[in-house]
Amino acid sequence: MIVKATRMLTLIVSACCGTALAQVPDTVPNPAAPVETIQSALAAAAQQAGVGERQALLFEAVKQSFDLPGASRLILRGAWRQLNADQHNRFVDALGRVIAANYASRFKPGVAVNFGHVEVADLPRGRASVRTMLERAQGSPVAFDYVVQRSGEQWRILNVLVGGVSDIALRSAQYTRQLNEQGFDAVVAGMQAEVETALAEAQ
Amino acid sequence: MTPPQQPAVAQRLLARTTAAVLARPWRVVVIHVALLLAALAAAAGLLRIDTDTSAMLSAKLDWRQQQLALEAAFPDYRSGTVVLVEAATRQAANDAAVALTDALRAHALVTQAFTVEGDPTLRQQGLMLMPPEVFDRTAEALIAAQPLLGRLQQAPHLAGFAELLAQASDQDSAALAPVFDALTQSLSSTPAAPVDWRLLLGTAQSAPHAVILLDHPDASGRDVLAAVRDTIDETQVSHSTPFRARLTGPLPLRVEELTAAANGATLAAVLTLIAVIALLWLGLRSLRMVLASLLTVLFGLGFTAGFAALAVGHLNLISVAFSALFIGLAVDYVVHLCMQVRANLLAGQVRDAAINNAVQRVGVSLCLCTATTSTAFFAFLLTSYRGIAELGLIAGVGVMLGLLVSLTLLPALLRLLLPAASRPAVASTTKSVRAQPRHNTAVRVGAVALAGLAIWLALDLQFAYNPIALKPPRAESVQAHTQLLQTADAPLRAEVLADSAADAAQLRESLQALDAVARVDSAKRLLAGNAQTRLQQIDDLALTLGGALATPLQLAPPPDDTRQSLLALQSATAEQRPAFSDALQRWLQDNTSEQAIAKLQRAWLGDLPSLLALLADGLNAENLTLEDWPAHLRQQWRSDAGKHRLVVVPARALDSDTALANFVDEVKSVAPSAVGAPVVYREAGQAVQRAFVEAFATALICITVLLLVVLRRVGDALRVLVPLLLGSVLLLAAAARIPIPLNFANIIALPLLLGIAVDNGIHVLLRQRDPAAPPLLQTATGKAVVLSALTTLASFAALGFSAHRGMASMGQLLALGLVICLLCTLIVLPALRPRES
Repeated sequence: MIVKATRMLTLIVSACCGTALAQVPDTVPNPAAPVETIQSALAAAAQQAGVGERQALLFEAVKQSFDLPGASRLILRGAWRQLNADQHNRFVDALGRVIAANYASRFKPGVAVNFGHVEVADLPRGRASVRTMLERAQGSPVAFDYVVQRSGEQWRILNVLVGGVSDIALRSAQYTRQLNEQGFDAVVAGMQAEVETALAEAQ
Repeated sequence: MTPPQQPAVAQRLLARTTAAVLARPWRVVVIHVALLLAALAAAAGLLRIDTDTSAMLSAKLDWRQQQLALEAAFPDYRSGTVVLVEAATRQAANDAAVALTDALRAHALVTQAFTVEGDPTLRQQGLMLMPPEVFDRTAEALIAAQPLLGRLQQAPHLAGFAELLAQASDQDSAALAPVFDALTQSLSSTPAAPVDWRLLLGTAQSAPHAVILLDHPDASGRDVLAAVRDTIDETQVSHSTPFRARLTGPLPLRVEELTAAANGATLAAVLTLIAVIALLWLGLRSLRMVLASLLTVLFGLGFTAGFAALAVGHLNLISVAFSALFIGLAVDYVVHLCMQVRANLLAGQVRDAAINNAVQRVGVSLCLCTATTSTAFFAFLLTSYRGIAELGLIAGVGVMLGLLVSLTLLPALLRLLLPAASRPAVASTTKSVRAQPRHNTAVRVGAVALAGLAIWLALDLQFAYNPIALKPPRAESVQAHTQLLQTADAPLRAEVLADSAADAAQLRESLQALDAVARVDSAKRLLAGNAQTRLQQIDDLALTLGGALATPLQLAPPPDDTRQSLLALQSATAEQRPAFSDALQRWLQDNTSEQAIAKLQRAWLGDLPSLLALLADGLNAENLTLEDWPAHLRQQWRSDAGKHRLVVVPARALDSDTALANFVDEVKSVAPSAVGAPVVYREAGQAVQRAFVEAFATALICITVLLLVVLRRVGDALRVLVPLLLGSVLLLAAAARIPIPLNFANIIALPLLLGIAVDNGIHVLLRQRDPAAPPLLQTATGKAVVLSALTTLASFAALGFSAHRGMASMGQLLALGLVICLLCTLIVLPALRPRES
């Protein structure tokens, strides 16, 4: 339940941030830019009727705004170094699709959301934290913390914490255990099954 | 009646002295009282008890030189006291240790107080310096726990934690199983036991304890310990969680050992006095004589204490036993004299004549006995064991002083106390016992056979190296030491001094390859093995955890609806985690107060704030070079002069002599200059054994020479010595079989027995030279030999009751030895008598 709730909230907050981020000038690399990309894609996806189209659109946005190889390395930890280039590519691709499918399944057009203001804070080693608060119709606001990293002229999302819960930590605990117990192919197969389940729910 | 063989000059001298004493008894008493007061004043003013046993062996020995070289190169790294802090959880123990360390640092007597988690640099580098497998385990556990920890930051109280667990309870998450198991375990005791988050997060040490190392001036001894104990008491009151702190390490072990030894010696002295009074009464049957005897012995004891104060200035662990030994030995003189006086009185002599004749009769043999006993004691002076040498000096002079007061004060007191024409109140009770064997040949053959058997058995005799085994087992410092031995903080480690980094690296590699070695700590300990990789791993961990650790966790008081949250948790877990749910239900039924809720919060979450703060510090690790480390940490491993210190940690607990010997032998095979406690124990054991072989041989040679000079017959000297040597091997055989292993304390028994037991041989031999002598045990000499042996035996047996195991085993071995030697003297010596033509 925590996993699902977290991912759903991640998606929702991503949708929220677009308006606030639009005011930052284009010329200066903006730590909040990747969040804005996801947000725009969510807004566009909301207009698409078919789940397939929504998934394709969001997958492109995820590939643009997330540092998928970096996130994959963090998720698989020491095991990442033992995989070959082909396995790296397969995992990165699967991770992008899982994130996109979760967005597609969880983002329902027309759901009312309110967003607090965005706070950007510098983190060590050229990273930044982008925080926004989700005002919920019921219950207290939930904090959304994106950890973004600058790569050249671009900022990309490495991790997102919803209510303090780290998406990378959740996936790492799940995938590394699966990797140790069942092997790499089972992990990728599991991720594909997760995509299919999410898309089926999004129908 | 006077044996013609006794030197006439000595006898005339004794007669003249005694006559002078008897003429002015009061003057003699007054002079003795004045001298006693002076001696007691000197003892009270100058005599202190020296707790430093490390210097008891000569500094000229190779390994002592190596130890001193290491201490000179690393002068600041000499912990005198170790505080073992224990609490319900590992984190609570560490928190208490940090609080206690801060409090101790403020104390003027403490030069340095150190605990790992109180040091900012070590906190920061903690994750950096973890062994790879520990780091992986910790990282994995932290990542698994991140959802819990992250959410807790948002609602830092029991209700928040309960809600989080309720949400997570429907997941079949293996990651949460240990948490639920720990909570169930916690609820199984009343009140709920603290949850050990270090165990859950994989950063646990072997036991819920932390260690504080204290440095302080050597001289402050007991004052430091008292100050540390006061600080512990104060911190226990002010600290939020309960903890226990016990002191061990060199200083507390020394102080408690000495206290036990001193108490043991006092107890032994009192027991000896009581036994001596009883035995004297049985032997003398005269209260006046008993009183005179006792006063004489106590005066002698006072004089000896005064001598010890002036000549040595202190008593050490071994010489503190001199009081009990002295009473046992000095009483021999008064027994021999009084028994003879009694015999003379019974024979119809008047008081003064009885006293004077008694002194003349036994005085010479008493002088000879004193010469042999003090020779045995002085033989200790030639050994490299200073502790024993000091006992030798004090006791050697002590027996001389004992003789002197017996020949001066005792006659004066007897003159004053006994009526002029007195007769003993009770007639002689001596029965006619023929102790001399009729079958001399059988005894001789038996003795030879017994000696052969004893030598064979004695080959099994062990020497117990570990001095901890001698210390009082119930002492706090000994128990804490024994407990630490089983942990990663085991105090028994070898140390090696290397002249350069290259030497250190080479030695480290060779030592690391040994079976008996778990690991070798060195300056490399401050440097991560693969720094860049570890930094990357720590950075990845920080990213994965997000900001979960960035903000310090501060627990809030449990909100009003906490009970509802716990009820919700209980019902949410009923299916997936029934054991936990049942335990929580029982707890909720039994505990209804707000106070109980607050206690449960402390038990479940109390560890977390400081543990997370520690891990957060660890996420800020840097790649430090040796030069970047603060001097006080760097200089533990590399001196400013470039010397390196290696610490060799044993693979197995060094809780037996075999384990200790194996470890030391293996380490020394690679690093012959290794020092440290285990090496010191073994080397000191060997040095002490050599010292005692020297002492025994010296005592034997000196006593043989003395006997030859005084007895003037090789045959007679042999007749005294053979039973003694037989007794010695029989004692060694008995010690091997019982077993009473030899150790640092009881090893003095052998040379000492030589000096004491030879007296009996001399008495018996001189008596036998008297052609008109009746059977031995019918004579005053025979009875005196038995009685004095019994009093000496009482003094040794009294030592056997000491809480100090070393001293107790010394008493046991001496008592056993005395009985064996006495039997040998009484049975074998007469059988060695040449056939009368």
